[in-house]
Amino acid sequence: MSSWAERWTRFWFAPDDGARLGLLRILIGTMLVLRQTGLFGLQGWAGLHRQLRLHEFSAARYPYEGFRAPPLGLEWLPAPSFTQYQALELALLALAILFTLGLFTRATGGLAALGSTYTFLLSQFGYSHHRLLLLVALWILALSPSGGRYSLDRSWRHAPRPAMTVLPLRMFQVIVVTIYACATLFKLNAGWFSGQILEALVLDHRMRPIATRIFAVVPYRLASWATLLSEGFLAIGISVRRLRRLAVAVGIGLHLGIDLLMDVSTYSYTMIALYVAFGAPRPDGTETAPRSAT
Amino acid sequence: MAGAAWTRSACSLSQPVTTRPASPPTARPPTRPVAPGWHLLVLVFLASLFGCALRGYARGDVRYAWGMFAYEVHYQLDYMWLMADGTRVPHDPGPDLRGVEQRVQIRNGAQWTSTFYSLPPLRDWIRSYVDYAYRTHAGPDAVALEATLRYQIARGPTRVELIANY
Repeated sequence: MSSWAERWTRFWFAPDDGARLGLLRILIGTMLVLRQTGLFGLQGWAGLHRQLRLHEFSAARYPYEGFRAPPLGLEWLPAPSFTQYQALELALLALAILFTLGLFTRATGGLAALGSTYTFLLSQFGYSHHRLLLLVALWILALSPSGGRYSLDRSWRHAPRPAMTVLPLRMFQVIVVTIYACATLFKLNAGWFSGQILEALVLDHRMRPIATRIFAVVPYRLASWATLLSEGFLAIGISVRRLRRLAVAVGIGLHLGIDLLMDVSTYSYTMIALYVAFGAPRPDGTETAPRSAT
Repeated sequence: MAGAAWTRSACSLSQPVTTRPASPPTARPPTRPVAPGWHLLVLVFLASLFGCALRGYARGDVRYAWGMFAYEVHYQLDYMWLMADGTRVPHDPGPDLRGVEQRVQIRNGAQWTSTFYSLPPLRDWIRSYVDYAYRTHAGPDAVALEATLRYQIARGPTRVELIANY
């Protein structure tokens, strides 16, 4: 094998012990549980007593009445009745809990991913970045042996731990880098350079009331450039081992800041959770070769 | 079967390891040969991810391209029926958009609203609705249904655009 091919194979298919994948399953599963219950957002936690409800279940939020606008080519997908929609949301919550705990992981993950994909594709209006990210993450975890570690499948059912590769972790890494790179590239416009877009977000009430107080002190242009530079740095820094700790600190600060200022559902937490995928690949403990960080 | 995609059981275990024979004791553990299908899977994954990003960047459409809050479009919409006798009658979507309102706002009215999904998706949503409304609600005298969008990007100058005329 040529050196290039060898490096490609090692990058995508090196052995891994599955610990980070198991942890990611727990974190992403938790995100799905939070989404299904509406328990997300820093502001949401503050009003926990009010948030303990299945927010998607109310008739006002049933999104498939009247004009549905299915994506092009998916007009054939049947829309659920309100009762079916309620049942589906409940089933997704149950599956999310089982998947997080790692019980019948492959089946619960697969069904949760299928159900979430169905509701996502029913309407163009179902699109949001955080939903797409959660969906992609769920599929990767459902199709990979993410129940191999930290799962009830292992501790109760004594399922054998499969030998694993870093492939799913690499996929998560590439997704995170792509998201930061795209977020930066799209913001390279006059509105972001001048701070006008942040100001417009406040004026249009896209931000929480606390933003008005913060931006009374912090200039829009400064906040705008701080966001741009942070996202740009994250796109590179998260992949470079020497910069990774700083990048993770910057990323956590950025996402908690976004969550404080805006309602972005589980997006901030999902991004922070995906940082688990970074770090030196760990070989499987069953390998005969010596274990060492790369 | 799906599990094999991610595990070393997908690799040919009978073949020799592919690391250099003279690997020092501290070298990384050996990676075994992988079936071509898994390489193809990786290529498809990368092509989908980067393809969606490039398409979105070229169109200015942030959907599937991870453009976070790249544009803030402040807008207001008017729907108007054009009748056979030349008169114009306002159209009220009524309960049509009840579910949609949880996600995006394409209702008509004097009140301005906003989206950070940029203009191309907004045009798509409005065209989809006008198409639906014309097919569902057009009376015998109706000739067309128009949607007029007034918008500002990042609170810049107001522009007016006729989005659809069925």
